[in-house]
Formats: sequence, C-alpha cells, structure tokens
Amino acid sequence: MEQTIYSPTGMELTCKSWETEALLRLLLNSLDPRVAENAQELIVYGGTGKAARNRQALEAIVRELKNLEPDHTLLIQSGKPVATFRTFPFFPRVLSSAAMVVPKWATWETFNDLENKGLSIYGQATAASWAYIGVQGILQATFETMGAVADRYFDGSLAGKIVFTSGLGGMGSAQPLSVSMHGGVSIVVEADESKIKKRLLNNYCDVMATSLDEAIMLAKEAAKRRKPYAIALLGNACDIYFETLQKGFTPDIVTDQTAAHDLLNGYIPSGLTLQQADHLRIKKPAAYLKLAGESVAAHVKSMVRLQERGSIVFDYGNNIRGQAFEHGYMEAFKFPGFISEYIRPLYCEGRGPCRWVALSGDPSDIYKIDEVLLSEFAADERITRWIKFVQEKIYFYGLPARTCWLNYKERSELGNILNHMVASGQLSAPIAITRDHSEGSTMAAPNRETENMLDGSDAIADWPILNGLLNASAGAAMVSIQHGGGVGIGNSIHSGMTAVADGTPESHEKLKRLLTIDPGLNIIRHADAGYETAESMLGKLGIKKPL
Amino acid sequence: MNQRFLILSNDKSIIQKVAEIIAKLECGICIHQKEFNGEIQTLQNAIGQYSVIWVDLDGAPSDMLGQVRQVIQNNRGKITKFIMLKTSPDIQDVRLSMKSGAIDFLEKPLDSNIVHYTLHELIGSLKEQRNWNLSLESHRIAHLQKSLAYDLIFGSVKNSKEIWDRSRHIGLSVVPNTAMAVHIDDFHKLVKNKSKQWEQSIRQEVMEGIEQYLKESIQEMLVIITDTDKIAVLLASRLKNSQLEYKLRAKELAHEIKEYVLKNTGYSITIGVGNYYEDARNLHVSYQEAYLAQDHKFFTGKNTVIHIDDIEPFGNEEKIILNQDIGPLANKLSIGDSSGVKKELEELKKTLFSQKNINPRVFQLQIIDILSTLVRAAIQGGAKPKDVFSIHFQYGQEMRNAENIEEIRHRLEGTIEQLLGQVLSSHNEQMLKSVQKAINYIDQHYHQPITLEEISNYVSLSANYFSNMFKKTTGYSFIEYVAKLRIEKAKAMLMDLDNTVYQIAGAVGYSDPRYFSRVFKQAVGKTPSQYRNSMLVTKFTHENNIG
Repeated sequence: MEQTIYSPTGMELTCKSWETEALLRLLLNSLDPRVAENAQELIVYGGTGKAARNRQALEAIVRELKNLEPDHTLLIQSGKPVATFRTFPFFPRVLSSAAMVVPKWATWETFNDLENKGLSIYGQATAASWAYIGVQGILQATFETMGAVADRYFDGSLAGKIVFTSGLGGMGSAQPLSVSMHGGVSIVVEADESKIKKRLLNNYCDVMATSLDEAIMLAKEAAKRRKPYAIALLGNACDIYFETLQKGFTPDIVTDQTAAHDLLNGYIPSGLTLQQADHLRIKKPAAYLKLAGESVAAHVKSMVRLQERGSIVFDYGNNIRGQAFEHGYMEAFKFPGFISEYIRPLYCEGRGPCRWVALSGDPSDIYKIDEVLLSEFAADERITRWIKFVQEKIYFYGLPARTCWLNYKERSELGNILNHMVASGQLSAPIAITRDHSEGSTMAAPNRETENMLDGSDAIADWPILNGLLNASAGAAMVSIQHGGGVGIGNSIHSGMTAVADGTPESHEKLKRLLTIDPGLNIIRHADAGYETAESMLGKLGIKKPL
Repeated sequence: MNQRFLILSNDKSIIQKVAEIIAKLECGICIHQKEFNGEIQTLQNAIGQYSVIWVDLDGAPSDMLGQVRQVIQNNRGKITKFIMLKTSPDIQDVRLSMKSGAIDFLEKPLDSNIVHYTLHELIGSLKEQRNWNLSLESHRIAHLQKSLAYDLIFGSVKNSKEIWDRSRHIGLSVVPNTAMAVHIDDFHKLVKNKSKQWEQSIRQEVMEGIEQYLKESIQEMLVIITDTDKIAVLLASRLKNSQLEYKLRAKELAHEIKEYVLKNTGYSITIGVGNYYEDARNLHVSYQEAYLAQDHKFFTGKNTVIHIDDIEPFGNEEKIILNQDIGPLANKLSIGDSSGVKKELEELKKTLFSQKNINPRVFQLQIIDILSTLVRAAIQGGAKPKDVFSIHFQYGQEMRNAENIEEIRHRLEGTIEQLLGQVLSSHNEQMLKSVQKAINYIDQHYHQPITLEEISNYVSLSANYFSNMFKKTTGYSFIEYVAKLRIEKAKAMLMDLDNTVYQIAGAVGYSDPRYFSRVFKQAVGKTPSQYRNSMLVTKFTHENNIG
C-alpha cells in the first residue's frame, strides 16, 4: 500500500516561501484520503479528475515545490512538472495547463487515447488546480441556486415549500441540505439504499420513505408546519416522477441531479434493480443505453408536465434535457438550466464562489475569519445565513476551509481582512485563497455556464483565457488553464487561481489587485454580452470597459 | 506569581514603604498607586483588576466612608481583597470595615513590621487561593471533558463548530473519531455482597488504568463511565489511508490497553471497538458499534478485543425451542428418572448451544422459558413449589449476570440437577403413599390375578419405577409380596376344615391347586395338607390339655 498523502500543518515551512508552501499544502490536501475520492489513484473527484499525472510526477512536483526559489516559476503540463524558469517574485510560482487539446481533437475518444498513453490527465476543474476542498464547494452552489429561486418566487424563503428532486450521490447530496438551509422541505428520489443510509448518517437527510404516498404525506405535514425536512425516497427517479404525475401531486419546485450526463454509468433505467443494472451495463451496454435513453426521455417528459401544472422546473447542470432530446423527446428544453435562470444574475453583480483554506490545519483560524466576516459583512444576509448554517452542518476534512459567494466589494475587502489577520497574529498561519472554476468569466461552457447568452456568445472561450492571463499578471501564486471540467471534454474551457495571504506588505499589494479580477471580469463579460445589471454595475463600481 | 496591588492613597510614603518590603520578600508583586479622595467610581473601576486594593481612608470625607464600605461588602468573597488604612482609626471604623469584608485594617503611619507581617500573610493566602483556583479549574475541565464525551456518544451535539470549540476548550488538538466500549469482566462476581463504593472503586481503578496507558502512549482521548460495568473510550486516531488501517490500529491499541489494565490493576476487560468516523457527529454510531461488538463476548469469552467488522450481526430469526422439544426432558424430570433426564438434557443442549450469533438477550429469554417448563414439571413430579421457585429465582438472577454461553450452560446443568434432586427427595414421602395405596389394593384383590402393570397403573407410576420403589420400601419384590400375602391368607383358611385345599387355592388367587401347593410348600416347608394336619394336631392336643 502506498504511503498516506496528507498536508503538513502548522507554522513550520517545508518550502522556501509561504507561496510555494501554500501550493504544496493544497496539492497534498486535495489527495488526503478524507478529501479525495481515490487518493491512491490520485483521483480527487468528478469521475477521473486528477491532481497529478502519476506517483512519479507527484513526487517530482513535491520536490520542485520544496526547492522552488521565490522568484522562480514551475510549469505543470497536465499534472506533470516540465520546467522551472526564473521569473519575478510578483509572478506566479506555478503555472498549469491541463487536458488542453486542439479543438478538432477535443472528443472523449481522442482524449482517452491520449490519457491512456500517459500524455495528459483529465483535470476536472479544481482537481488539477489543487483547489478542491470537498463537499462544501458543491454545497454553496446548490445553496445559491435554491436561494435565487426562493428570492424570485417565494419572498426569500422556501419555508412551507416542497422541492422534488432526485440523486443523492456526491453532487446531489447537497440538495436536501441546501433546501433545509432555506427552510424548505425536500423529497429526493434515490435508487440506491446504501446512499440514502449514508446521507441519513451524515445528517444530510432526516428520514427515508419507501413509497411516494409516505413521502408526500411527510412532506405536506412538514410544509404545513413550515418545518425544514429532508425526505429521501427509495425508488427509481423516472418511475417516481411519473407516479407523481398520476397521483396529481404538484411540488413547488422540481429538478433532478441524477448522473444523467453519463447514461451508462450514472443513470438507472426504469424497471431495473441496481443489481440488474450493474449486470446489464457490463454484459449488454448497448441494450442498457437504449433502456436508459427511453427512461430519461420519459423522466424529462414528466418534468415538463409538472411544469405545465405549475411547478418551477429547472435543469441542475446534469444535461438531462440534452439526453432526453437526443433520445427523441423534442420538448425537453421547455424548462431552463439553473445557471442561465438563477445563477447568471449573480454573476452579473460580480458575485461568485470564493474559498479560503487555513494552512495551519487549525479549524479555529477558519472560525475566527467567520466571526470577522459576520461582523464586516453583516449587511449581507446571504453571507450571514450561509456561515451560520455551514458552521453547524459542515465538518472539516483535511485542511479546514470555508467557501463563500462574495460580491465585487466583499472580495476586494477579503484580501485585506485576511492579510491583516495573519499579520496581526490573529491567525496561526497564512491563508490560501482560491475558488471554483464555475464562474461567469472563468468558464466557457455552452451547456452550462454560458448557455443562452444574450448575444449568442455561448461558445466564446476567450474570457477564461484572459482571466487566467490577468490573474498571472496580478500576483496569483498559481494559475491554471484547463479543458473539459464539469461538463466533459469538448464542452468547456476554464481557468483557476490561487493566492496567498501571508501577512506581508507584498501579499497585501498582490491581493489588492488580484481579488477584483474575477468579479470584475465577470461583470465585464456579462456587460459585453448585453446584460443590463452587469452594465449598471460597471458604472457603480467604476470598472473600466473601453468598448 | 504576577499579582497586582493597588494603593489608593494620596500619601506617597505608603507605596514606598510597601514597595521596599515587597522587594525584600521577592514575591514578584507589582504595585500601582492612584490618588484617592473617596471617589467611589475609582474604587469600583479597580475591582477585578487587582488582587489587593489598599484603601487609605484619610483622604475620603467621613460621609463617604459608608459608601466605601458598601462597595467592599458588595465584592465580598470575589477576586479582589481590601486592606484599609487610616490615621488614628476609632474602633467603630475598624469594626465596620472588617464587618464589610476588609481583610485587615492598618493604622497610619505604617509600622514596617506590621506591613511585613501583613504582606507575608497575604502572599500565603493568595498562594492558597491560586492553588484552589487551579484545582477548581482542573475539576471544571474534567467536567467539561465528561460532558463533551457524553454528548458525543449519545449524539446530542450536532453543531460542528460547537464540537470543535468544546474540544479546544478541554485541550484536545484533534476531535475524537473512534469509540471503544470497555466491559469489566465478571463484574457482578467481583462486586457480589460488596458496597456501592467498592463497585465505584473498581470502575475508577480500571478507568484510571486506561487513562494512564493512553497518557503514556500519548493518545488524545476521553474516558467516561457509561454503565455499571462499562467504560467508554473516545480516541482521536491519527490519519490513515483506509478503514482497514484504522481498524488494525484501533484493535492493536485496544489489545495494549487490555494488557496494561490487567497487568496494572489485575482486572480483566473485554473491549468492543467501533469504526472510525471522521465526522465526530457520528461518534455515537461508533460507540453503538463498539457496544454491540463487546456484546459478542457472550460467544467469544472474556478478556478479548472484538471489532465490529469482525463479527456477524446477531440473527433476526433465532431458532425457537418449542414446548414439545422440552417435553421429553420435562417428563423424565417429573418422574425423577435420573438417567432419562441426563439423556434428554444432552439432546436439548445439542439444540440449544449449537445456535450461533443469537442475540444474547433472546437466548437468555429462551433459557428462562425452558426453565419455567422444567419448574412446572418438577412441581408435577412432587417437588415442593416453595423450594423450586427459589431455585428458579436464583437461576434467573444468575442468568442476568451471566457473561457468556459457557456460564449459562454450566448453570443450566446445575439448576436441572437441583430440580431433579427436589423431585427425588419429594419422592420419599410420595413413595410411602404409593406403596401404601398399592398394599391396600393388593389386600383387597389378592384373590384375583394381579399383574405389576395393573398395580403400577393404579398408583400412576411406571412399572419399573413402582417395582423398584416397592422393593425399596417393603423389602420384597411385588411378586414376593403378593405370594407372601396369599400364603398367609391360605394358612388362615386351612384352619377351617370346611375348606378344601382346592377351594382355598381359588380363594387366594391360584387357579391351579397344584401350583398353589408347590408355592405353599416352597414358602412354608410343608404342603397345605401337611400344614393343616400339623396345625390341627397341635390345636387338638392343646384343647385336650385344657379339658
């Protein structure tokens, strides 16, 4: 068995500067067995999303980082360290590019060949950029979506409302928690009882129901009392959605987070047990795909019918509409995707995902930052509600971290706050600041982040490249440009960024410039596409956009 | 010692004098001085910041003295102590000040010896208070540790931040993640006829043994008593690659604890070990697993370590032992058939003790049920209810405290033996009654053919048993007795010359006169005719002698 990988903690440096120390700790933390899906295979999350090419490459990266001078830059080519050049202290210590292929060759088939030859890795999004922190990152995106739905339709709260959805896997499990966070009741359909039991164990769900009638009864009772309640319903999503229609039950909100983007490995066709599905997908994959295609079409058809009855319905980024359309259901796109409908307005304001990691390994550092933010950003109820809830619900695995969606002003202040807290000794060690790749200007993905742009610029991928270049020029410790994260090869180009607050004046200068780039470019990209909110934000915030 | 004294006085010479003496005492006390003209606010502001406040009452107007004393009285027993100073104080001032809570009253100008003596006393008292505070603090921490441990094992704390804060407060650097349930072997035997204090001392000794071992091996842990004979150990295991590694390490540690406790306290313990859970909110699941694991000592025996993963769960469908299965044993017991009881008990044991993974509680209920049937059989067989119920009660008590299947087997055998003894001893009285009944019957029916079966049926006993019992009681076998009786009856009839031998044979139950004659001759030494003649001659001679 290979040696356990985990990050060093505390104040003792194993590298020559806190910038490289931070990157080393983030890399090792993303491969900590408590954080990574399969640490031994270097797989961090999301199917095969890896942090390094192989063991040898990982060891070489660690060695290079430990010896890297504060004015040198290490280049990582798809998880393999390939060069070190002398640059400037203000320039990044690590530049990375992962899974990039020439557009004509950007298919899974070609990419898998290249990966099998050991020439590339699938870096997902935060896997290859060493910024993965576990379930908390996923949770807040779901929290924000539910919050946006609540704001638009239900006066900011889901209290007394029933959300009907499915899937309790890694991504889907954030749903019941997010709905509960907004005071609502959720019914989450899941075919795998072991997944339900896991969610009951970690308190993401409150109860398991074994029939739709039972689930509806429990949900209505909780909604009547306006009590947050998460019900996991054991069953096949396609069948249960149809049964819901038949019984005349109309939930307030309907969505789905089964792994429908991968019909063969992530979706159970109607009528099959888990064991039958496992058997059939190996023995007769073509027959399995046919059954799954028919099911997913029927599944989406039920969702459309529920929409016609008055439910608020949206696609949760698993491409279920595309799959249904491909399998013959022409009305699949009658309901919108979650980003274009609910998240894009946040992008237009410059609000986006930001996360910080306590390099000390001490949870107290994160809690101290929480307290300061709760005080500094007390006016932003969204932050207050999120931090209080996440403090209660989320347990730290590996290096303690906090993710939080902040707006332009908040992010520009964040760097100053964190650097000051490190400098004044309030925190026991420096803090790494990073983010998800899923943001307005940092990811071009026509099926998700850039779906249905006003000006039709869905497939334009210049923005994440510009974002990466700009971050590299403004003091980031690490910048990565990647392909295929989230929605798969051929479907996205995105960039990641990591900075370090080590309490020094240099760090202060870097953060002052750096942390306005992501939200600023977010606003510019959407203003450029013709979104009014983004255009108005330019003036309000004094962001320069020549044309 | 870092104590701070404040002198509230306008007299500079006082601070000089006190400072000189403190310097000589080398006790590290810092002295501060503030002007004082009786301002209550000045006095109140200083309370809590200084260990001792010297209040020079010369500066205070006489009408303020009451208020000064009131402030002192309000803070009586708190951190700050007060010493009053005054030139030519009257006795009333001194009395009232001391009554308010001042620890001393010194007359100005200050006498160096008195100040020296006062300071010496004061330092001693402060040291004592400090030690007391430290001891109080260690008690407080111990209580907080227990409170956190109980909250974790009963799952009553759900807030991640709260768990972390409380862990930090009691000095843990890592939150516990693995639970062990320690059972003190043979606890009920150890404390039989002992006081409650003795029970507590055993638990305390074992607990301290565990704590001592964990301290020596630098393990962070919480140890609490959870039941009369059980102690919970909550461990913070260090990071491992897999559940298997956590399991192996926890088992290894449990073995070490077990050996250490045995060696250092002499008490044998059995340790159940639960799974590792990174999220401390699931520690209650780990404890439930550990508790369940130690329950398997019922099959494995004492002085063992049992990990939850190494045991089969207790079966839900236990083999039911029906009354008809107990029937043969109960029958043998009721007639006091020792060899029959032994044989049937062996059969029953084969069925009972071949059960694997049966829940110990269910098993104990089964045994109690079997015993109830056997108790009824013993009463039916003549045992005295009072004695039998006493055996039943005692067995029930022992059963509840039995720790493993071997003990139950041993006790069951012993109890059945006791029941059999009761039946057999009751048979002594019963036997006389039965024999008497049989003799009466024979007396009334000797003139008819009588068989052993017939008479044993009449007294409701088996032929064999009756035969043995009859011989044991009368000294004759049944056949011998009947024959003897008939001969006696025949002898009497022979004295009447009107009866022929042929008639007499029929009248005493012999259908064949020749057989009667043979039997008679065998028993008496003469044929019936010879006997009559001899008896008649004797009678005649006797009559003549009289005449």
